[in-house]
Amino acid sequence: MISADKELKAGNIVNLSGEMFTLRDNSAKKLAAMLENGENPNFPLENSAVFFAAPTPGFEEGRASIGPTTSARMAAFIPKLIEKGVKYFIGKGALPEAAKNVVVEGKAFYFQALGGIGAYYGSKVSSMELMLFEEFGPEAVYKVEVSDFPVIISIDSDGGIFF
Amino acid sequence: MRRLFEVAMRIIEGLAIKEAVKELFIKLNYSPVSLENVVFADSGMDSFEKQLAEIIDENRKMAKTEKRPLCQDCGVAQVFVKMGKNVTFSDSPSLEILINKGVEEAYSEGLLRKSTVADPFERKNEGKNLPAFIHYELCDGDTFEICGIAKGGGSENVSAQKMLVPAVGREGVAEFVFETLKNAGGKGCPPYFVGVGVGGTFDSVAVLAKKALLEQVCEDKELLEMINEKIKDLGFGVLGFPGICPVKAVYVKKAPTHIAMMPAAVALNCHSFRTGRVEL
Repeated sequence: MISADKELKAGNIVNLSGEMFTLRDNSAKKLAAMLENGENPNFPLENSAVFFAAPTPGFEEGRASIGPTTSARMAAFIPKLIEKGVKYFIGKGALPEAAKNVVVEGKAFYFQALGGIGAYYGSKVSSMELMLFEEFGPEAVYKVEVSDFPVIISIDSDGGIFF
Repeated sequence: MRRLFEVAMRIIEGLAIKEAVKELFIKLNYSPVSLENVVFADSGMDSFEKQLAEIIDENRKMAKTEKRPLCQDCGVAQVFVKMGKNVTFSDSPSLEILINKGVEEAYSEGLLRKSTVADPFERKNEGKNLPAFIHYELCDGDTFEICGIAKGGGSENVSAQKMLVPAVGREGVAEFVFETLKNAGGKGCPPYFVGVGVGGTFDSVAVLAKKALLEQVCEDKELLEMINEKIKDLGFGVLGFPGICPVKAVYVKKAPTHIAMMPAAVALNCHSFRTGRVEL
């Protein structure tokens, strides 16, 4: 679950704490195919937070960086993920209109993480666990536990929008 | 045959070349010279934009003190070699092998993310961040210089090249730079460092734009002024949100071209501007 230090209202910069699952180009495509086939991944999607990202190695050494990649590339997978219960999407940049509407209708959230501050975000990660698709290298699904992780609320569950 | 001059070849140790490439790419990803005197937070920004800019400034300090890569996208390694004709090297049959080995070790020992996939369709990551993308330039003398740029996918994806017609002049090129920036918006992590190349050919103009980023020069003041004027109307700032700072710096290089042509290229680089140079 995810919590924040301020109201989750579009336009606010808030600090998130909690658990997120990383996903991006290769892993998003493969996860979507799994879901289409009626298979479930080994982590819960209900009320989960998905972070469009791929970290550097070096978590054990206390030296990892992590940060968002452009969400628009993963927009096609958002409807399926919302259908499966994903509540928070965290990524970089604007979403295409169709994806925006799906997020609003699904009463989900879209948070924009700041691009290019991997060292800063890396220092906010307290655990990182490989979950799925190890074969994709950095694009694998990782469960990351974060605290004081700043994001900008772009779509809130009342349909408020800020880009 | 009689020679005009007797020229002694300078032999550089191949392993030294490999080490130089390795150290360069580690340095680029943690504390590049190109970001040494850069500060993004500015008193003219509103509190929202300033808050974002301050986090970016803080990130740069943390990368250095905590030894974490500046950005999780450690880029593909682009290498520009300038080699004098009187230089040769030991330890390897080719320069390419030495450079690739240096890049491989940098990304592995430097705990950098390997983002290269071996085939654009199969998209398998072989975990070495190879090959390096290398450009060679031969010159006189015994110079041996390597420039590197570690550039992520976000800002590379919003860079652009266009074959303009000569009649559009500087105004048309400035408009193309503006359009490229407008389309990029926040996608490539602004404030941008903008490399503009004008002239040459379809293929060479993109390299010219990259060289503008590497050399950080301006070869056409009039064009620069036009671009700077247009940038004021972009309507976005730090990271693409409302603000005043979409661009940190603009660099321009130009080259001779064909009577019918006006190739232009805009290489956008994110705020994590990672370029550097070593001479051996």
